[in-house]
Amino acid sequence: MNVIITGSNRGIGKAMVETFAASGANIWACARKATPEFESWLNTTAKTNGVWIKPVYFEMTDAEAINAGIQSIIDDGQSIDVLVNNAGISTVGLLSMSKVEDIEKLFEVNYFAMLRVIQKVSKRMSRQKHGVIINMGSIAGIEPQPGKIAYGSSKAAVMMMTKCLAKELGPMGIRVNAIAPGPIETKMIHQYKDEVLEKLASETSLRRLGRTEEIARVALFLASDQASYINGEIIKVDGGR
Amino acid sequence: MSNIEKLKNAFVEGLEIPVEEVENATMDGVEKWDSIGQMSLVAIIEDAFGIEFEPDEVMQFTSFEAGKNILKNHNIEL
Repeated sequence: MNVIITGSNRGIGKAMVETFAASGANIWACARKATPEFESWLNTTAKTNGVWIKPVYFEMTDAEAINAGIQSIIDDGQSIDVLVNNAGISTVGLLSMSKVEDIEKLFEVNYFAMLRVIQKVSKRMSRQKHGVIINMGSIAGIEPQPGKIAYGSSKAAVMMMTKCLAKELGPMGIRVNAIAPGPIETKMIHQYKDEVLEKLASETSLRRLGRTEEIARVALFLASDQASYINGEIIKVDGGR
Repeated sequence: MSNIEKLKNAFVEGLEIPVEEVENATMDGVEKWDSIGQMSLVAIIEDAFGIEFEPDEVMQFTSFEAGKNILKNHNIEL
């Protein structure tokens, strides 16, 4: 299985790389920029698991860079079996305190960049007549919260995109699903104060934040033939709410 | 293989029609040339010629003749 993972250098994306590599998948690990730590970690992960992992660098706010990055993957000439659209940014802010320009930028990364990647990769998958696309949604796109107008709206858009694409691409053998994580222990979530994190944990039935690998394992399941009849679904992974 | 042969082959592969029917192929006249067939056909042609259709071109691509014009706009000689 050959897999593209965007936003692969930290948080859930990093766990995705580790989980997919451990299952024997080859990976194009997409990130914004090269760092020695990132490349060293990719090399070690690849060697440990006996797979190849190729770094691909592009900025998600740059349409031309996205095109070039994905084209370089296509030019590898390998089958692209799975696309995990994980790259995203998060902001918290009431509308009265938010600049619309910042919300536009968030949508550019969380929604439009994802569309650009899918538009290119799905053409390749349609040629192959198989493929799996997994988009990262969020519980914030399902449950309205003050301060989440930008992030929540962008993730709601991602999840509706997922359902529409599942209908468009299903006839070509391409499954499209999304994962909607609840609060997950990542650097991104530490923009909140400790008392907010405690509240987030207490709102889950399991009374704790999720772990990145708990999301990655669901992605691996969705990518596998075990999920061969699951299409157009939003899988909430939130500890129960 | 000439470019026109490559284009005809794309139609044969993408729409599963005999090569002798390719020149008269239109979206309305070929059973498999629906929105799904369109996507498959576009992907095959893009691969064959190393080009990328713009969304407008995908919309305009409703016949073999239209396909030839699109390729000409990408400076491909037929």
